[in-house]
Amino acid sequence: MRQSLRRALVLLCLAATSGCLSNANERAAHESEVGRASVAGVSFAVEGGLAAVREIQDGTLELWAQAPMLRVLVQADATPTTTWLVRVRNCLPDAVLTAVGAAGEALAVALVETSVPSVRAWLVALPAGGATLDIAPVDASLAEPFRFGVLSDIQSGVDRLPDILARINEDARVRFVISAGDLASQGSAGELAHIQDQLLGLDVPFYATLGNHDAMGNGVADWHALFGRTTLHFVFKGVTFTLADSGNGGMGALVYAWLDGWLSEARDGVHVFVTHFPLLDPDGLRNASFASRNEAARLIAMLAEGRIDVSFYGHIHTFAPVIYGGTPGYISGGGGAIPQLWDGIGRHYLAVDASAERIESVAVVRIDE
Amino acid sequence: MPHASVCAVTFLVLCGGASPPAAAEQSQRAAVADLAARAPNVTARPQGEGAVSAASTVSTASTAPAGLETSTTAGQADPSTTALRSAPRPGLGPLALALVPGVLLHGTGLYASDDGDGASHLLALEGVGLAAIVAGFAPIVLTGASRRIIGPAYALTLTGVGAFVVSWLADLYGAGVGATAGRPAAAVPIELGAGLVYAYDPSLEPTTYALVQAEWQSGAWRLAPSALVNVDASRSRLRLLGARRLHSDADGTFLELCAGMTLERMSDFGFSIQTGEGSVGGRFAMRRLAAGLAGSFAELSLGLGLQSFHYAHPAHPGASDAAEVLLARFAFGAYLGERGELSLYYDHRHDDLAAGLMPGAGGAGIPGHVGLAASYLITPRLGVTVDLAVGSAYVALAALRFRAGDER
Repeated sequence: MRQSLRRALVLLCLAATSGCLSNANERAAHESEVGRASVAGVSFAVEGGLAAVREIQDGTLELWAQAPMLRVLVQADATPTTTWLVRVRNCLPDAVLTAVGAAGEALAVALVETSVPSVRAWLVALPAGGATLDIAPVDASLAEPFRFGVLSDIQSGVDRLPDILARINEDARVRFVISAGDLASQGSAGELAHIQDQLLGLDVPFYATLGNHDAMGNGVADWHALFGRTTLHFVFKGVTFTLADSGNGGMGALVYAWLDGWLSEARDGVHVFVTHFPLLDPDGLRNASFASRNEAARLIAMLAEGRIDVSFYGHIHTFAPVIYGGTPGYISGGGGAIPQLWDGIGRHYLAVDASAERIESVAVVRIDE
Repeated sequence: MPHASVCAVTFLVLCGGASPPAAAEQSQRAAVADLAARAPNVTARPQGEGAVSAASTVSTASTAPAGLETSTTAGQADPSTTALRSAPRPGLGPLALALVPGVLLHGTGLYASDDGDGASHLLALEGVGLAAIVAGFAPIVLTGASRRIIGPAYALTLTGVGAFVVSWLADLYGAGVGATAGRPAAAVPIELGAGLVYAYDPSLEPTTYALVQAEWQSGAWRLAPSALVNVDASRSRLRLLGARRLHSDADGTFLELCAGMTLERMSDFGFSIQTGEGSVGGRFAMRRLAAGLAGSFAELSLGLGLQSFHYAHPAHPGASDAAEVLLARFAFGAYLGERGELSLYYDHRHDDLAAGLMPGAGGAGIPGHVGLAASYLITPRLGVTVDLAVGSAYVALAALRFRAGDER
């Protein structure tokens, strides 16, 4: 019997280590590699990993931004000043680039015209030594009301995405769109790249965390390469945004550690939390939510303690307002994936008015009315 | 390797592995035991073991399982009351066939071990399972998992998955191990247990709990309280389960209604959860499907739970949430002689320590956990229980059981 139990333990451990448990930790551990690249003695590091390096070759750097404001730290060896083309995709259309050298001196910057509003490009003269590039709209730090969109669960609806994007473009008040993920059906590099091509039709940037369908691809390496981090955090106009990776039905320990710090920092301000899986499914029998009710309760308690103001989720292809631990949240999976029937919702996105004082309103914008 | 396959192989290893001669002998012994149970006044044994004694002359041909020869008088076989069909012959060959193509065509292993009737029953069970999966899952896909149909649809789907998995595991068992004389250990009125539970949850930090549990049985009623408490008492899980047997047989088959209440507290994370639940379920002696499956059993239960979440934070005092939880569990197991049992199970619960599996695919959040459970009586009064589960957490339970009262 003892031998049998030993065999059982060994075999069960083998089974378990082959991938049953969350690989959210694995993804989180690789987040620190996002936004870093070097070539020919010049290295770039995007602060907070808030952009994916899409291209780097001698004289050209292309980023996919995951936040309205980016700071890029540049280290160059003793080579003479070189001019670099810095192109930022998924960028706020009114963003400007300012550059300073290691001694604080302003560096020469020239805007390069582009045909796509969400693609911005500049020529920057980078001297030997170090430089800091800041890319942000001039009003980024002004605590004024603004509007953002929420659009998740596109999947098989990707080819019908342009009409949703066109509808968003009609609303000039939307500064950017955030997403709770499930942009792709199978998470392949081709699908993700196709989504990004479609997003060229959106006049404002689209910041996303990863959904479970996005995690089905190449061990999330493709996501990291194309979109960047799966868990990200930024502040815009006094409002804090946290997009957390729950792509396997739960969050990793590292993500909880980050979240703990971010909640503390934003405790007295307005804080928007976004993750793919609803913490509890409004229809519990379905459990289209966190895989563990205990973990869901832990996160609800944590978010309530951190005084978040509103949360957004995807995964369920409908619209449903929820309240978790006394905090309002919204499930919105209206990006075009197979819709939940008989709910009277269909494709939609959310338009959210926010300010540094409060979340002013959350409105459902239906596409197929 | 898929987890189901690993678990299945684990299960076979623990049940004794593929040992053809021994398994065939076991098969015959089980068939003899089966026949003796049906005709209590006859002493029966497998062929070639010499004379048997009989208290009376009884015609048993109509009930004798395949491969069994019975005697009606000492040392003499009566052709009119003897079944001469060959006994199921488990072994490596049938086991290999039970794996491929048996993973798709359940019953292949039993068929290869000369149990055609049993094979057809498993194939039928597989068909029922597949039909239930299609009938349950197709509406889920077609309606985008509409809340109007989701409860019954998932219950039907999980029942189908249970039938599908059990029919395959049974085929592996029948082909690789074969019939045994195993049967349920005799019940006693009171059992007390004490042990440890280790839960490794990446999102809730590893914890070791002390476990105390009890079970009281009286007639058709059963009451089972249990408590888990960690070292600094910051986490506890108190549970009370009551059950009423609706039907039970000596071969271990039973059907019962269950009701339960669970109070879980994780003060280190600032929440507590109360769960009330009800379910109906039971165990089925697989010998009823095929002689070569004697000594094994299958389980299925379905139910519903209601949860109430409470949080200890000052931002929203008194805030609480509520949620339903679908209860569905199926298992396949084997008796370890008359002293214990071993089972592989799937449990759809998302509200216990193991909770739901987290595959990196489209099904994340939906599946429950899988596990391997074993219990064994070292003496008639003292036993051990082990349970290893994998969901969003690894959970290992080990406990000693103390039995009191007269065996029934």
